[in-house]
Amino acid sequence: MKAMGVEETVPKEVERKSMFKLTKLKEFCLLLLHYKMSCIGLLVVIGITILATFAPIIAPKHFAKTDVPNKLQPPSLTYLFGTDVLGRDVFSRVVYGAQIALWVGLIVVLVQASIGITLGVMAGYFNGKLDKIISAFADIVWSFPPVVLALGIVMVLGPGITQVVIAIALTSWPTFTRVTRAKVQSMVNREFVLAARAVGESDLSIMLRYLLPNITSTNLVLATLTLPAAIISTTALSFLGFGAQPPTPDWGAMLSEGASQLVIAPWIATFPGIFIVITALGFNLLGDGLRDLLDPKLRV
Amino acid sequence: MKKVLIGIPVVFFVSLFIFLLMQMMPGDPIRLIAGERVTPQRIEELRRSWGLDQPIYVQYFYWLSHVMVGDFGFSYVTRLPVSILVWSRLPYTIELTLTSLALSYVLGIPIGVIAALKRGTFLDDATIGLSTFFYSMPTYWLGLMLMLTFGLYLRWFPVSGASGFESMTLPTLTLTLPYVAMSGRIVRTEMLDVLTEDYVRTAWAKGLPSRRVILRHALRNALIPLTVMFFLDLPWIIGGAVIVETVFAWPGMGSLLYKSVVRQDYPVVQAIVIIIAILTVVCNILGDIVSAFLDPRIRVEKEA
Repeated sequence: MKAMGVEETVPKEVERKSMFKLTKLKEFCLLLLHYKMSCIGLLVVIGITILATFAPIIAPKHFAKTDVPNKLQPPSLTYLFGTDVLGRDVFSRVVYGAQIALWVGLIVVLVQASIGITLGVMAGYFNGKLDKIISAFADIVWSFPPVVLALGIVMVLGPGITQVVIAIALTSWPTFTRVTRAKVQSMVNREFVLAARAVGESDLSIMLRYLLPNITSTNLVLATLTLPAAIISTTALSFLGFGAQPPTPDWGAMLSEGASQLVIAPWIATFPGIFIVITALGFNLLGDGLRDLLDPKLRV
Repeated sequence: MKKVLIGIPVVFFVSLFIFLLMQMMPGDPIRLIAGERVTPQRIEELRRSWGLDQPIYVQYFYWLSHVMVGDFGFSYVTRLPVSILVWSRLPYTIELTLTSLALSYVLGIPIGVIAALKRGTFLDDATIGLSTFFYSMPTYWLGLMLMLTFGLYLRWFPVSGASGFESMTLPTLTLTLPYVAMSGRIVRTEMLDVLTEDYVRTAWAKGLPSRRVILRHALRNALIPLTVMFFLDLPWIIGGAVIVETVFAWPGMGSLLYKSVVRQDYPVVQAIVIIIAILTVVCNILGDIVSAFLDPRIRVEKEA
């Protein structure tokens, strides 16, 4: 099963590799091995991906299967992480929860990256007034707390994972803008851009065909580092009861169910939390390593 | 000053956005106020007395002109003026967030300095490792686990409410721990940068005592980014306080926001979101001013 999982994730690395202009996959892996912590991170990410992909096989029960006579069982061999108020197997729910966490994280990152990169390329390419407006706007949005906007949106549109995704993405794109802008600015007067302009390429074509490919690796690193933050913010809103609704096995929603049973059944709140931490940690470690490898200047 | 010019439209835009969002809300607020069993005449009367019979843009400008003087209308649920509700909660939030920020700097700065000085040792690795660990941890889960350990098992601290110093311990700790890690990391990075600067090397070469070089020459400059971060982080930590306050039933603005969303009490939600938007803009401007004040290089750059 593990071999299959590796196959699942390796092609992604191959894709990235070609963008980083690293010709050999082996070379890339050797370099990555050099960074022990990032390797642990990569393993965790692979592990969580396997968990999410093969959830129906790995989980002993379906996430919504209730079994009231066996409610609130402490962790044991039959119920690895115990059972909740309705007798649902916490382990199975945590495993299925990985699917939601990864999907939601991925979508949030994609949305914020598309907003952020578009504005960043524009700010960096058309210097001057537009740049100043976009940068100042990005600064302000960056320090606005996402949870607050999310609560505002959720109040009107009602609770739901889509609303939460919109709210989080709308407030967290500025990191992409800043990094892209700086990167584009450093390239705008390089020969290949000047040459393209001399040949008569349009602004749009220069941005899309000449600049965009050159900022991909940087933004991939950034995406890896933003994904855990996205997972944490969305589960936080599910925890407050405004995100994923029952019986969805969202880790945040499970935590909020567990919070009310903290005294009698602490395991319900403990395990989903541990998985959020492990997942976020995995992506952060992997991202740190990728950054050192590909774009050391990004280091904060 | 550019920030001021951008900031005002941003606040205006946020207010419009929030106002329009609230208008799209399903359900009739009059029903919420009056309940189900009222005559149509009574509903009309109420609608007029709350100004809800006017066109939307009239409602917006009417509302905006009141907001500008700090009048956010009345809560639909408690019927108290929103400003009174918010003002009564605000001190709790300020107490919680400022204590947490102060504490995280008191702990984070020495940790960062030591990690930078002992670069590459176990101490340094531990600092980085711990900061990544706390960065990866959701605050609400940290809060629950602290509650479980220190509140429910050890019974050292109360788990909810705001009855004095003891009940503040756990929420403060929950907010502080991730920020200790973050400020420690920022200080470490900055110190590493500064320690290789010429003027620090000169100070060493002059034979100044190391304590003086580290504290007077290096740390002073390494702290500039942290000071600016203080202003940029303040809105964020208040956002984080929404969750922590809810978990620990701390009677601050954050738990009021949460409760108001649950009760669909939209004047209160509007007010808090706008207050936080204004705070965000003001903090941004202050951050710019402070950084220019502390670091003459930025001032020159901006003028040029």
